[in-house]
Formats: sequence, structure tokens, C-alpha cells
Amino acid sequence: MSAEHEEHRPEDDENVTELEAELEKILREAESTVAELRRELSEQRQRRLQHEEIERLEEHLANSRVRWEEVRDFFQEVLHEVRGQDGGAGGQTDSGGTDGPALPGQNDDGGDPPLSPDPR
Amino acid sequence: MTAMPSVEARRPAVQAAEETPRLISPFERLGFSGRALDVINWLAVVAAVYVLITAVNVIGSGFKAATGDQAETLFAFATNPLIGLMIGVAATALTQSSSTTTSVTVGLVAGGLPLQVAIPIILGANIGTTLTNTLVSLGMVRDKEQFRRGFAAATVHDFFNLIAVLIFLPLEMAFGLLERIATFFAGHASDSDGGLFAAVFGGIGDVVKAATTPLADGIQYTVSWIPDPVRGIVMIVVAVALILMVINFIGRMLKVLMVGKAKAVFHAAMGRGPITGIGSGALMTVMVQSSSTSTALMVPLAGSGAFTLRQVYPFTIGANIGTTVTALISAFAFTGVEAHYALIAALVHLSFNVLATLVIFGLPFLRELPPRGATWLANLAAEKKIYAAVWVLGVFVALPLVLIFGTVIF
Repeated sequence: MSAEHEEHRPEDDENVTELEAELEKILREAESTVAELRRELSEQRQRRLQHEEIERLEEHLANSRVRWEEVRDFFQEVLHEVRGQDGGAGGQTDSGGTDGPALPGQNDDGGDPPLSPDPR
Repeated sequence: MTAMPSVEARRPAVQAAEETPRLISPFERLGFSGRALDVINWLAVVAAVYVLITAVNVIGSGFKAATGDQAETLFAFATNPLIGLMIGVAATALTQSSSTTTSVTVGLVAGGLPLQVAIPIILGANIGTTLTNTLVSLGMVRDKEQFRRGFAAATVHDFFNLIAVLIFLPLEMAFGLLERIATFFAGHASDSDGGLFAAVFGGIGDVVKAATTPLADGIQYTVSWIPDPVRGIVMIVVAVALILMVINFIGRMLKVLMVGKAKAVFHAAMGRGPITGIGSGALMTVMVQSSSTSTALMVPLAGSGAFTLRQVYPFTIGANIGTTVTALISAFAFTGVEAHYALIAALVHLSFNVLATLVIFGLPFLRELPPRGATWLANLAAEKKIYAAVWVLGVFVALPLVLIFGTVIF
């Protein structure tokens, strides 16, 4: 190893510090850009899901009435729950829905249950 | 080249398409299609509105026949506003139609029911109508997260309308706030010196009255052999049954006719903020003539996760405003002094919902209460369904019964 490599000069320290600061700045900007892109992607996906749901409006309008058999099933499940017979007997799942699209937040930010009033 | 999928592979898609609920006009089943179907659908809606206005008129006449000039004395028991409120809640919860309750109330007011009795009934209708979307959300109970979101979207309407009544019923009792506002505007719309607006309103009223009088007279003639006051009661029962049927029919027909326009309203309103949300909720409800339908529509949209609670909240509030159009249409059933009182009753419904929106949604600390309450309740209900059951039975069954019996006994 040569003597030139062994020699440690003060201006080298300054250069390294500046380089590190520059790299950190670039990294912060990149992270900020990635976060911004993720947010935009999430919003874009949300909008797409919304448009898809609106395209199903006829189906939703046809379903926008009380189905008394479902209300009866609900109260039967409540009775099971009260009697301590729940244990998932009702086929209850924790997934994002049986017939709807997946919750956008579940993929993008890890999901948000329990529900909280979103700040938007 | 892509291989054709097998019959088995294609079957689920075909089955799904067959099982997807579709809005079908009753006239389509009779063989009508295309332009002819559209025309007959719209004619049916016009005919149903005609029957609605006539039936409201018959209620007014029936109430007069049933009570003579003793309406104030007979309804002294209901001057306690809590009784009127709970009658409104129970009647609307039973019929699942606030339009029916408010239209009937408009008819009764024209027939002599005191406004002090009628106004709490109209306010109660706003609470009762929230039951429908809450019951619809119970159907999502098998999927915990979907139920959590759907139940929150439904109960945000419950919380908003309960808070609105908590604010405005005391103000009405203390100062007659809603009655004063409605009387002011009704005066401008129906007085002889009310200018162009009053002239137009009065002109429409005269035409509608002339058109509906033959049918109203026909209904009254068929029960003319029954002695008073039973005749009046029979007329009221017949008219209420007619109103229930035609409002249900109008709702079904308008769903078929308006689904395309409703889609356009939704697509246009997306991402535009809460004021547009309120406007689109009101417009959508006017289109389908039912706040129960438009708020129940929010349940699957929020339940699927496509729309957040914050996004459906303004739409729900707009539905409250849109549904007041039915009572305003019903007020056209009358002329003269009857029209004046009918219009006051209808404008009470409108001013209550507009003021509630301005106050609750306008003030940030109040604006937050309905979504926070709905979120809290939905989180509880998703973990323990008994909380949802207690809410439904407590608010819509137990509370009205306890208040009515409590007021009668004490």
C-alpha cells in the first residue's frame, strides 16, 4: 500500500461529509418521490375501484332494499353470539369482502381495521 | 390463437350474469321494449304522481270529515312533541318511507291538524327513514370488515339525523323556529301579493287541483254512504294505502328510468369534495324519490371498500334534502288556505334538513360527530353483533315505545 493512500487529509473528511450529505439528500428526495408515487397509485386505484362500483349501480340499486331473511339471519347470529355459540359458525370472515373488490388500503398501507374516520 | 374456454369454465360467468339483479319495469314483463317502453314508463310515473297528489287531497278531506272542527281538541294528547316525534319515527320505520309519512302529514295539516303536532312527526320521519339502510347493512354481517364499513356508512345517517333532531326540536319547541321560517316562505309563495313566484305557484296549484278533483271526488263518492266520522277515517286509510303503493311504485319505476343518469351524476361527482357530494346526494334522491333507496345504495359502495365513510357522509346528508321534494309535490294537492298550511308543513321538512346541513356540516366540531359516532359503533358492532342489535332495536323500537308510554303515563 502506498504512502499516498495512508495519508489522511482534512479536506478528505470534508469531501466525505459533503458526499454523505448529498447522498442523504438524494435518498430523502427519492423516498419522498416514492411516497408520493405510492399515494398517487393508491388514489388512482381507489378512483378505479369507485368507477367500477358505480358501473355496478344497477345491481346496487336493485339490492337497495331490506331483505328480511338477512335481518332474521342477523338476529339469529346475535342469539348464537349471546349464547356463546359463535366460534365462526356463521362463516364470518375477516377478509375485505365476499363480492366486492379488495380494500385498497389492505394492499397499499397494510389495512386500517378497526375503522377510523379517515382524515380526507 | 387462444383456445376456446370449455363449457364448464364459462359456466360460472354465465351463472353470475344470470344471478346479477337487474332493474326491470313491470311493463317490460308485459312485452314492451325500446322507445315504447320508455314512454309507457314515464306515463306510468306521471299517473302515479297524479294518484299521489289526489290521495294527499283525499287525506285532507278525510281528516276534516273525521274530526269535524275538533282537530285541536282531538289531538291535544299529541301536543307533547315527543309523542309526535315518536309517531313519525314509528310510522316511517314501519313503512320504510319518509316520503309517505311527510306526504300524509302534509295532507293532515291541510285538513286541520295543528302544526305543533305535525312538525315533530316530520322531524321523526327523518329518524325513521334511517332504519332502512341500517337494516340493509345487517345483511353484510358474515364478512366482518365489510360489515364494519357498511354499518358505519348506514349509521352515519342515524347519528346525523339524531343530532339534527336534538338540536332543532328544542329550538322548535322554544321559539317555533322551523314554523316561522316555513310560514315566511309559504307566505311569499301563496299570498295574493306574493309577486311572480306566488302567481306561478298558485297557477300550478289551480291546474293540479282541477286535474285531481275528479278522482278525489270519485273516491269520496264511493264512501259517501258511510256516516261521519267513520267515513273520514275510511278515506284516510284508503288514501294512506294509495300513497304507500304509489310512492313504492314511483320509486321502482324511477330506479329503472334513472339508473343511467344516476351513474353519470356519480361519475361526475367523484373526487370533487363534500359540497358536490351533498348536491349529488340530493339530486340522486330527487331522481329516485326515496332517501331510503339512495342511502341504502351507500351501504354496498362503502362496504366494498371503494368509498370511504368520509366520501359517503355528504351524499347521505344530501339525500335528506332531496327527499323533501315529495312533500312539496304533495302540497300542490290543495288551493287557498289549505294550500298555505300544506306548503308550510312541506317547507318545515325542507328548512329543517337545509338548516341541519348548514349547522351540523358547517360547524367543524359538529361535523365530526356523526362519522366518529358511526365509526365507534361500527367497531363495537363488528366485534360483538349484539351492539348492532341493541342499536337497531333500541333506537327504532324501544325508545319510541318507552317515550310514548312514558309520556302517556306521566
